[in-house]
Amino acid sequence: MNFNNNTYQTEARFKCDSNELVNIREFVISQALYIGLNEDEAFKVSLAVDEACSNLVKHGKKRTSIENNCYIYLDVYSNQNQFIVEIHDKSESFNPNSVPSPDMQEYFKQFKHGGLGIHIMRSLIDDISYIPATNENAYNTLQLKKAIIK
Amino acid sequence: MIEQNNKFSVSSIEKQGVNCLYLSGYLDAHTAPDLESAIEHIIKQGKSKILVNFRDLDYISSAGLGVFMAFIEEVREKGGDIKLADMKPKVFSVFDLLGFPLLFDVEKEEFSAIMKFTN
Repeated sequence: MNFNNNTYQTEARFKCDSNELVNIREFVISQALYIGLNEDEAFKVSLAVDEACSNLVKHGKKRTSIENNCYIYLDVYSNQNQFIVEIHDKSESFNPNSVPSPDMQEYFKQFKHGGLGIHIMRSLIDDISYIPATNENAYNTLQLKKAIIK
Repeated sequence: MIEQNNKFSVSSIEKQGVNCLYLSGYLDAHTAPDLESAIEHIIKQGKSKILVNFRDLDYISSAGLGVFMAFIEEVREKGGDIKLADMKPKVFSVFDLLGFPLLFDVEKEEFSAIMKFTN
């Protein structure tokens, strides 16, 4: 399902359930450390993936028919310079890049809550791209790229 | 009162008129409702001075941050506050990333946070 020419590393499938978030983070951290990110960078990627998957659990699950088991698929790749996580899902397409970053001063002034997950992802990840599902490919793909600092 | 599952727990003790919540484990979209219930429980008792001790908390995501945002306005309107204390560097880094220390009082130690309530 990947749309790049990077070295394939591994993949995993998780139920679209908040109970799985801890397992998703552990999977991402273990892969990131294996590929060569330091602990701090591995943590940042795992938090970004947690935020993306939390959104899928919250918004995606209710959009997917009950008969159709809801899963999140993670593919992990790397090249010489980047650690790449692709998150695939079959829920209604939603491009996080279409959401503007909040003005945090205003956010605090108005005591808003929620909607910070995408902002956290942007703050932690070098490049975020999104390919919505099509008639040919039923899966949406969110790709997160993090530079490997050597 | 203790809310607990295998990934997160929150316990509550009253000290010098301040309701102290002790968090441990992982605070994410799965466990955030447990913290929400614990804070709701305190507010329903008419209390609004809340201290959250993060000493044993290993992880927080935006779902956890959202819980504090959900109650801060209400407790301040009632003359109280939610003060935060004793965070591990990794947990503080998430608060700091979004500028939360601008809105919330984040203390290194529980003692100094309680003093800020009582003084």
